[in-house]
Amino acid sequence: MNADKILFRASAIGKIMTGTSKGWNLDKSITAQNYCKQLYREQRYNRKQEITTKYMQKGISEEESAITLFSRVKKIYFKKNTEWLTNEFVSGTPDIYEGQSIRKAAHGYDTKCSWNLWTFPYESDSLDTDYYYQNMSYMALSGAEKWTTVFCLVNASPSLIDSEKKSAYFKMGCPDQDNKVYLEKCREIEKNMIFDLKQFQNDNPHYDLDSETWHYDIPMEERLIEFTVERNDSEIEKIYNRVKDCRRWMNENLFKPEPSLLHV
Amino acid sequence: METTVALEKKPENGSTEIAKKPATLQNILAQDSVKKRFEDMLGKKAAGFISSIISAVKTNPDLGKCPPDSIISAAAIAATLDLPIQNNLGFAALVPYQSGDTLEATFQMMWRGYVQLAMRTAQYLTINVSEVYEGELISENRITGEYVFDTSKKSTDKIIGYVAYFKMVNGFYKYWYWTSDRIYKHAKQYSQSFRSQKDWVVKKSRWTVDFDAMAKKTVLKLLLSKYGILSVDMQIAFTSDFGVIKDVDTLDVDYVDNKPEEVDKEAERVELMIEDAKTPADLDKIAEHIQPEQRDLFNSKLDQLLSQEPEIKKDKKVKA
Repeated sequence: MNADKILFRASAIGKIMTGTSKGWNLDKSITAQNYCKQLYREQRYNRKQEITTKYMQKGISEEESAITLFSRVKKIYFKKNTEWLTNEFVSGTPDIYEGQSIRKAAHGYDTKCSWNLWTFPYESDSLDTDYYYQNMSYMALSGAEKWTTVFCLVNASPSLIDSEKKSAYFKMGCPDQDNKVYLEKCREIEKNMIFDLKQFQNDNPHYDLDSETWHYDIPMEERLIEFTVERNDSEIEKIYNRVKDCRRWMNENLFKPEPSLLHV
Repeated sequence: METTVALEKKPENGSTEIAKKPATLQNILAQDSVKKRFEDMLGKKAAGFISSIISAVKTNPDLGKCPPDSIISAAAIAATLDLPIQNNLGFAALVPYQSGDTLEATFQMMWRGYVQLAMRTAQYLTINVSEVYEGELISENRITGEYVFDTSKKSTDKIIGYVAYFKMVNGFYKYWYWTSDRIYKHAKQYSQSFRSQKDWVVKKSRWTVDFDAMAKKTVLKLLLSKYGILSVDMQIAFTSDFGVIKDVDTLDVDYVDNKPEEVDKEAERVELMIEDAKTPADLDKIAEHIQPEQRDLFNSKLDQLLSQEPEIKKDKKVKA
């Protein structure tokens, strides 16, 4: 067993793309080493590390809602891609695309659900380098010339909202259910996690809101921020070289040869 | 060294499959083991009951599309309770239910069935359920749970609620009254088909087809479950009602109409985009993605947009 065929996930490629291209040394990059160690154990023991934060939970549960929001604003029907793409170095399941097929895409999109209004980016912000390289990987896999990261502000699910309310309840020392401060906190949580009340009530007709009045909807067009990356083959080559470096390091440091039983 | 553990079970003997008759409802009902099962439950009435199963399937084509074993399991519950399954008698029924891509037969009690089971216990002096018209409800005492109704005070034909009542031989009596609004909310909460966002699904719901009968059953069932004496048969009826019977002996029931609805997000996306459309060109972009059940919505929106732009040709409609 060795690292020669290990594929690096597009969604995590940013972990090995740290530092500048000049004099980059894997021995000095703890982030890249830790990711290599994780991949080694996944390969060696046939297991995957499960890490789920509430932010990731929202991203997973509301992915289709994000695609719907994007479709409605762009007035183009998009459908979630489920095909897993691989090449010699990287792998991934891109979200949505325009073009003949996912393997012959012209332009792809990766949706990201922001947790709330305060984590939603501004148009003037720069795209995180992790997402930049993720997009570059998707373009390598699909042949696309452009890839856009789309940040979406969509309603949270009732379970996430209730989880936040429960957390507030315990932090406030388990107040009475009709405690005014607690109720106000619950209303704030709803305001910060719901942006289209009509859609929320359609999706969850039996959810009892604590808010008594509502005028906090944010227009669809203001709940999308896009950052587009153009294909750059030298950047893709840089990704491939890093993958080769990582595989070499893993072979030297992690996939050690087993001692011979006949060793004297 | 990796060891792969084989998880598949091998056949116990090397027997080859014997060609069997297709498992149609008639073939299964003709089997001796099935006939004996019904005879054990119903005695001389078994033959008539088996005929009523075939008759129920003939009169309801959708029921005929259900797997035969789900029909027979549901019918077996009715036989256990000795309740006829003819719809017009109103005791119990076999009702097909669409669950995803499949149709399954469910066992459903009707309100007369519950009255029948209650009377068989010989514990009830009287038991009844009725609609309540505007003007008839005179007073309600929340403390004692007593109501005063006067049918002579009916002012309109509008039904404002439903009431179930029983009086037992020991003198105990009780009312259960719910307003029509309360029953409607109950139906929306507990019936997946009734609260569906798809019109064609709502139309097929028992609550849409016969709200009156379902409302009466609901108040009667609530009254009996909370204050009545529940015989073994009554408990079986409660457990099996609205369910696909997976196992008659262990009463393994799947309540298909009371599951959280899995929303088809892609279909919902199309519907929202149809709603959002401001021009026929907007609708053009989604025309190829619409499902058959969305045609009416699409064409209706197109009509609305075309009426605002009459010079556009009306050949964009999606045909059935």
